[in-house]
Amino acid sequence: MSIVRLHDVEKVYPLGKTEVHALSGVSLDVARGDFVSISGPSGSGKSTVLNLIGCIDTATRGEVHINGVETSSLNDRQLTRLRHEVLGFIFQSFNLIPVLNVFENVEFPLLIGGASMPKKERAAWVDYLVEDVGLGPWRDHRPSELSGGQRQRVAIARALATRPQIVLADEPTANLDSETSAKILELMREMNREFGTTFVFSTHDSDIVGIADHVIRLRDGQVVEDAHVNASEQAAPTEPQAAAVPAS
Amino acid sequence: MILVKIAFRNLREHARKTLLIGVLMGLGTAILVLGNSVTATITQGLEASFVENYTGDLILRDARTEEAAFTSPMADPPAVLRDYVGVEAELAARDGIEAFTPVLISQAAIDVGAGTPSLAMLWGIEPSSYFTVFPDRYVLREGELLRDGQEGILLSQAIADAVRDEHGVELHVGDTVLLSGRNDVTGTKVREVTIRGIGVVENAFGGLEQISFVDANTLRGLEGLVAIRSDPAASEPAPAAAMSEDALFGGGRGLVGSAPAATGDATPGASSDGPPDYDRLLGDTSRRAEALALDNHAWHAVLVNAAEGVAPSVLAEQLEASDLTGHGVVVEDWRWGAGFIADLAVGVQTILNAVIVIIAIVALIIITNTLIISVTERAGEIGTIRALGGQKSFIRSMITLEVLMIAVGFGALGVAVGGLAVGVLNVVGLEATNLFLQVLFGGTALHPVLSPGSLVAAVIAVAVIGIGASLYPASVALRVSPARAMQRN
Repeated sequence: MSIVRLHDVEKVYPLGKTEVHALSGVSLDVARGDFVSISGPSGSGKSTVLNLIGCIDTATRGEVHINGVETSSLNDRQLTRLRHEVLGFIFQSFNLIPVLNVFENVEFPLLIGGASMPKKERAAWVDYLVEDVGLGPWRDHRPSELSGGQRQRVAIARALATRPQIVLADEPTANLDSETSAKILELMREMNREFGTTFVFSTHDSDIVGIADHVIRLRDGQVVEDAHVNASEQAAPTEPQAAAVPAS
Repeated sequence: MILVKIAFRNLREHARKTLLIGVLMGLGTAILVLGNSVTATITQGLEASFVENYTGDLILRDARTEEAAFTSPMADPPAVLRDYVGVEAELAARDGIEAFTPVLISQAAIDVGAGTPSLAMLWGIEPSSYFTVFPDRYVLREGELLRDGQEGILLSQAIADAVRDEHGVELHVGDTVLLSGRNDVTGTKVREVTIRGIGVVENAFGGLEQISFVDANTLRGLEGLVAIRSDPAASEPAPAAAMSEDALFGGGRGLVGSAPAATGDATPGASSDGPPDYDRLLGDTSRRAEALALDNHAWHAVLVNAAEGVAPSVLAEQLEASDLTGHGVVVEDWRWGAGFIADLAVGVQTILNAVIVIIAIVALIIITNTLIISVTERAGEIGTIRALGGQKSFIRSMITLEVLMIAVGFGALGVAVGGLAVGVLNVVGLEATNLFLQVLFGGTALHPVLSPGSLVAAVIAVAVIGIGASLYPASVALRVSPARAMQRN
């Protein structure tokens, strides 16, 4: 069963007296544990697809299913809860909370939801993630004291904090140099394998598409390619909740 | 906890905005505390001064009296109580009353036989009950207090000083002064009274220090409070028949009559060979004498002190519900007696409140604008929190908490500054440099006291402004879409 399914989705934005068709008849499926790239030139609809999958925008027409739930029937509170429990986000500009340090930023998603994790267990889990993304020595540093690559590592750790089933990354390497970009993508791949989390990332850089095992290409709001590659190297999908958690 | 952490660090991070909002709130709070304490002190001082010295806890007046003459020498005397005997009986029979005394309130010219007479406020009193209701409040500089049934005046020290300064006449106990008054019934009346004492009501201020106390009958004479006037049945102007010469003079003929008739009718009382018998000239004057006899029950008001443990307001409600209303009596408190002075205090309080409201509105606008700018600047952060799963309630709490933290912190600082200012003024005193301020302050200086009410008002005002100022920015923040996180570059 697909963890993400878009069926005949259309997204129209009003622009003055005219309309912009950002997506036209887009249908796609993402399997659990996939490492998916959505690529295409600027204006092709990459971000719109991510917004729809991320439940931060609604389709004009068609159906969007996330983890089996049709999102158009959900209200704001339910969509927010879905984002918190099922989804993780990595943003192009990192979007860390500037007044919180590395540890606190990673911990943040665990503090804003309804269910609370015991404090000691939470601290151990966050420390594990911070160490896992290689930022142990920067645990108490603010984002302003980190490099771009380090910030994106924090964002990856934060995206994984709630043990989401899907992590959406909107051009996660756009603001990074090529060496750092490669490291970040490698880290995402590692997390995908380690936790079995489905990763969907957008990029307009054709060079980094190759790392994905499911490639979706968009052009002018339509899917022009939807292919599974490196199938033999795909990580075996595992339950995200079964991810390694240190004993508290 | 995370909310507090984020709010506190954001405030510290944006120190300039925090300071701007905080100073506004702190300053407003300090003004509120200081202003309210000053006006509360004025009101409490006025109340204490009037209740303890002039009005007692409650005033019973005739319903026909509209304006109090307690504090204004130019006001018309109050209407005479229609049935003082009934009122007295009702009061004497009631619980919850410590003491009461009737008073007459008027004014007269005091002539010492040198120069222009001075106009002064005169209170006619029943000494025994008056000095029971107001014990130890009259400070005698010379002489002794009036006694029941004794003719005389307790002359105001201020009047005595004015006479000395203007006319060079030193007045002492035992001297006499001429009091002259005019009324519609008996015309101009002059009474010679003996000075029994010279003094002043404690803490008297403004025009109130010029009040002199006379025996009630002297004032009744000056006021024309005679049977014909104060008879309850004749509370309206006396009927023409009652005022006719025949009625007043027993139908006798006047001294200047028509010429004796040829029949030899003689003017009554005139003998043909001797001086006229003036007693007989007026005929039977008994009805006139009866009509013009002083009405010993004529009083303008009754001043009442509530018994210990009885709230004046409660007693007032009880009296209003009693048979007193049947006697045409209205129950008032000190504010009615204080008249324009109480109005003045209310006016000052109103002006202060208006200033505070204006400051609050300005502060509200500035704080709201600053917060909106802050929310706009942090739209990406807010969008990110929403994208990460933060509910709208979390965003609302975050914004409100930041404002409340400023409000509590700087509000407390404002309370401290305001309290300190009140403390300093309490020690130093606000000097009353003119009569207006003397009247307002109830003396030559005001020593404000920190009032619990002002603190409560300050806390409420800060909370209202804080929450009020955060409402619109919070609604702006709630409109930030989680998609805003994606748009951030």
